[in-house]
Amino acid sequence: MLRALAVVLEVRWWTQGGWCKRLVHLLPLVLVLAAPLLIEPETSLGSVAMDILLKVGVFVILALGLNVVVGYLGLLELGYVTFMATGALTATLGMMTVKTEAGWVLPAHTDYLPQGEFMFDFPGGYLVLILIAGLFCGILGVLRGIPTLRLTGDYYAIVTLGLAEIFYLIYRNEAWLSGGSNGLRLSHPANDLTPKLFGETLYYDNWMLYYLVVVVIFLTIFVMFRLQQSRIGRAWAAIRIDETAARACGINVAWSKTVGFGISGFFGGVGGALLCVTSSTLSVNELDVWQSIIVLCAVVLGGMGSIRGVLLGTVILISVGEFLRQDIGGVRVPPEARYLVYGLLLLLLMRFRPQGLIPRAPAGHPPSAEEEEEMRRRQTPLYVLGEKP
Amino acid sequence: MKRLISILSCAIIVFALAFTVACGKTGGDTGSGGDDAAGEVKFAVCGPMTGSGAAFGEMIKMGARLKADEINAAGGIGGRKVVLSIEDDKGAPSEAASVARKVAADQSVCLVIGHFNSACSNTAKSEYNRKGVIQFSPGSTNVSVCAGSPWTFRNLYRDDYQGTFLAEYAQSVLGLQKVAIFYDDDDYGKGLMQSFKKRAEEIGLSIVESVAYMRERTQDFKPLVSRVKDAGIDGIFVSGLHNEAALIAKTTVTDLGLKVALLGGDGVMSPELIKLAGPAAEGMYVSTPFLFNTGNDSEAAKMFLEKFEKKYETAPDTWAALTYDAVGMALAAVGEVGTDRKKLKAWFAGCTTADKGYQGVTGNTYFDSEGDCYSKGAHVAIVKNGVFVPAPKQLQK
Amino acid sequence: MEWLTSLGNAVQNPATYIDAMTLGSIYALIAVGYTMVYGIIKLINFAHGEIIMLGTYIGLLAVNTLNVPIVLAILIAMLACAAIGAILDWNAYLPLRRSLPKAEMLSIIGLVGGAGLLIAYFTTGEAGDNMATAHRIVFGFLAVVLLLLLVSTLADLLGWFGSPRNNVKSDRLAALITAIGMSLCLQTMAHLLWSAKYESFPTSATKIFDSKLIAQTTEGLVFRWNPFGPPLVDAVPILLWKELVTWVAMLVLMFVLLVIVQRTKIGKAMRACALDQQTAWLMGINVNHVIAFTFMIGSAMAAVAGILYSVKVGGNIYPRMGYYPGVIAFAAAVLGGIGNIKGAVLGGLIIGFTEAFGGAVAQQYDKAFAFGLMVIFILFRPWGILGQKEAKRA
Repeated sequence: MLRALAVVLEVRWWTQGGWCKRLVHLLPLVLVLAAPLLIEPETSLGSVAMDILLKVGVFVILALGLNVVVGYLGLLELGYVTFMATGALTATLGMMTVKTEAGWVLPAHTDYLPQGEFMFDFPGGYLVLILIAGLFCGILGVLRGIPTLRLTGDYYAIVTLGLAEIFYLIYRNEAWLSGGSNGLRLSHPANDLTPKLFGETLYYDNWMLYYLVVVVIFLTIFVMFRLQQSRIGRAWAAIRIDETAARACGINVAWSKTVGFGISGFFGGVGGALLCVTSSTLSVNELDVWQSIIVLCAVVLGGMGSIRGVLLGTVILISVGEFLRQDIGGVRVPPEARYLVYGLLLLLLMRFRPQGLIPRAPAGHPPSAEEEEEMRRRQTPLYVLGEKP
Repeated sequence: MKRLISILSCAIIVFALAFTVACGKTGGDTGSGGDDAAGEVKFAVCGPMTGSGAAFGEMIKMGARLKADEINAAGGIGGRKVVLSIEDDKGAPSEAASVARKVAADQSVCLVIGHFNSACSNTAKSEYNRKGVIQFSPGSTNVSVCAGSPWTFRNLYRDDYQGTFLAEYAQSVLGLQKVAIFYDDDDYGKGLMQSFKKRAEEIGLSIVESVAYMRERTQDFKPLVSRVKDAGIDGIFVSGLHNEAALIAKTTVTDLGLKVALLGGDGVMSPELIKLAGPAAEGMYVSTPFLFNTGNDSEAAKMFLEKFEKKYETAPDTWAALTYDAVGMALAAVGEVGTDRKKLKAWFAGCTTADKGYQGVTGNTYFDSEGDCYSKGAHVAIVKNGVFVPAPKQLQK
Repeated sequence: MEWLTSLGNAVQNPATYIDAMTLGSIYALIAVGYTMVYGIIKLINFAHGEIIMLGTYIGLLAVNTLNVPIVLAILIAMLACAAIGAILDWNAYLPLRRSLPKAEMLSIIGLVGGAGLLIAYFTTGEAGDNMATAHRIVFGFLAVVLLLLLVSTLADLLGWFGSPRNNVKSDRLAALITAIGMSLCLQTMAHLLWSAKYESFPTSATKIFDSKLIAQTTEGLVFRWNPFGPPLVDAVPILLWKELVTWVAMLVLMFVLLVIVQRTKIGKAMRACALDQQTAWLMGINVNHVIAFTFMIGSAMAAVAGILYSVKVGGNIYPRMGYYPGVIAFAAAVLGGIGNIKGAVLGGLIIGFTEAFGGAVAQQYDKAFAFGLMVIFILFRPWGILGQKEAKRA
């Protein structure tokens, strides 16, 4: 675990370089860990800062999950929001399930909760709920992935888009399930369903929620790092580069892809479960396909397939976006402008640096001189007569 | 090269975090408890300033600004200037939650005028309750908005009153017998539909069908209206906001040629309805908490009408008037007890009888124990020649 | 089995068929744009939905400010959208295929500068409200130029410009993401310029479209061939002029398109480029011009579709209006066989029928039926109804 963190944060160089480099590498970690102590959430700016940090944190988890399919497997996924929404719904509904005399009941409206014992009210209940949400979404990912195994890039993107829209319509319309346009509210003056962890109620300005998100992020990075180095990670890299060749090498493509979909779904569910608590309200209305496109932007911006890249990309994208929504010295940029900035970032990036800010390490061994020559020749669009093959 | 990128990335993360921390630090310098050392009285006005409900947001903004400018021109409250912080919740509950957090944590804000949509008010009120700041809504009519929340107040009726009123109006004044309802599937639309339906069943008004639609997603209303076409209805009730009401009116009148009475809830009350629907909206009845030009307007209403038209060159609507009153009442409170949030709440909670109420443009505002306002009734307007005028026959209660 | 009775009612009701045909025609017009672009450069043009929206807004502007009759507004929108389509290709997709340094710098300055200007112009807030317009424009422009200088210096230092792109697959991904980015940009631009308030065509302009063609009066069916005459009263409309116009528009435009593609030189060039781009270059065809022309045609048809859709629904013009029709039309194109124009028309009609009849059964899920059909088709027959199974290339 520590080794994973160390590589991610390049502690290796920390031991080699001077005090300046050590500072530059250690400072982000220190700041991340100490942020709640430095920010006072009681104030207006402090609460905005906490909001931004939490949102960035949750999107980091989501982006790392999406990275499995987009970065490691090389497939374009446009329907990630299904997992976000399903995970958030599972967590919220789990928190709302209450045991009345008639048995376990799912109330239709948070405003009128019947009396009874809540299913996940025991200590650590919320953590269990996050796991359940993740597992459920992982299974959903596997189920969704199995029929799409043999689809190539563009078609896979369209199918995920279509399925995401179908799920969105179902969630939006079935008000008994998701509250429809209103959404489900976790805290209401009469009934506060906000989960507790170690005695602290997880409001957005509570340091306990922040550290929960940070811990989940570290765990996610650890898992991603180990996956990257593992056999299945190398199988994914092979599938990404050339699926037919991978199959010819004896890699079980179907199995690897399915596991990839499952893991991606798992983290989508976990992210969704955290999302609903950090914003204390679940509005399915908002979880449409554009949210998954934002996560995709973050992954692409940072660099598909590299953990550090995805971290950086998400931090930049989300914090710039949220920052642009606030007043800066009395001047208020129109709130929609952040989408313009996102769009431009995507355009410019794809034009000048399609591999992202921090590109992934190339798979396999670096090419030798002859292999380089061969690769360069093969890229010429026209067949040049007379060259030896 | 890799070194440079990693240094750059760390630098960016460091900068981002440091900036956030710095924000947090400077944020801590403002005072607490609502008292502002700079000598300003700051209200937050939250509403759908952009998005499909922007017409409402415009009116709310204009009404609030009119009152604030008036008071400032007269020297302010106790010498202190009134400052309005306009926040946009886009009519979406999740945005409302965000806005609520920002506003409630800002200790220089002593009171919140908002929100407008019932779903937004419902979502935001838990944050206002947690941080302890008054939420005074000039437009949320769903029954659960004030329930259980000692910090939430409103200065207009509730939807159970409005639904009952409309059902009785439809039957006794318009003489309708079979009605179809199209309702928005959020708090407001559904709540109003349910109370209309309940009262209709009690008085024998037959509800042929209640069809839900998704605000901002349902675009084509022809299939919906076709469904009820052959059921022999003589009235259509739209429980939602003006955009969809305009589409429904257009579809009914132009596409299907149905000759039915059109009835709308107060969410339909906006000049945008007429702009979007054109002649299809002619003769549409809309309920509203307040009407101008009824023939026996109060002095305050006439003066408000004049001032508004002079300043903004456009006629005000109900929501501007209600917001004007809300700001006025809040400023009266500040004038008496200062800007401390708890003292303001005690003042509002104490306004329970007619003599302690606030006399404004829309009538006398005082609350019951929950924070609801029962002192004002509902009226019906009709669209005639492209403007809203009072309907010739109002319901006698 | 309530849905069965609803379905039964719908099948017997001529209005459902009329609706289905109208929707189908609109989707067919949009789907053709998607399918032609995919056929030539294998790109799903996500920004097509935004072109629909822009076309509708331009038509609205033409009607409101220039006071032209709506048919002329449609023509103006077609021309404007053709231009926008070509500009879109030139700015967003061409640089991915080919590197033109000078043109690129211009286009970047245009894109980023334009964005900065828009944002600066619409900035509000206390300090913002008091800024004079001239100051805003200068402020925006200077901020953007400074930012550009900073970013390009940094990028130069890091050697970021001109990194070679070796992998064909990543080029397609890059193009797709560029399309998404352009879609975001256009949506936001429209939102800033025209705000998210719902607009609709003024009734005075759409009067001829809204008039009844076939109506049921107490004396029986009436056929009114003159849309300019006095309106029929007390007549239940069976068919409105706008529906007939939509069908006719679709048929005429499809016919024109097929004539262009099959009979003209540029059509031959389009078919050649769709078949094999490299050989087309060798034969002397300027592939980039052909691609731009394809975008132009597709965008012009999308503009017509957008305006007709707005007239059919009775309004509903807002910055995000193009998203749903775009995605569903894309599903239609895939259904019919992507890359195949006749397939796009067929797919559009099928999806129109699915949505109309599915909507009669469960109104909120009408789009879900369309998406469901698309998903099923892609899973079992990805090359669509009229398409051909392609050999998988590495």
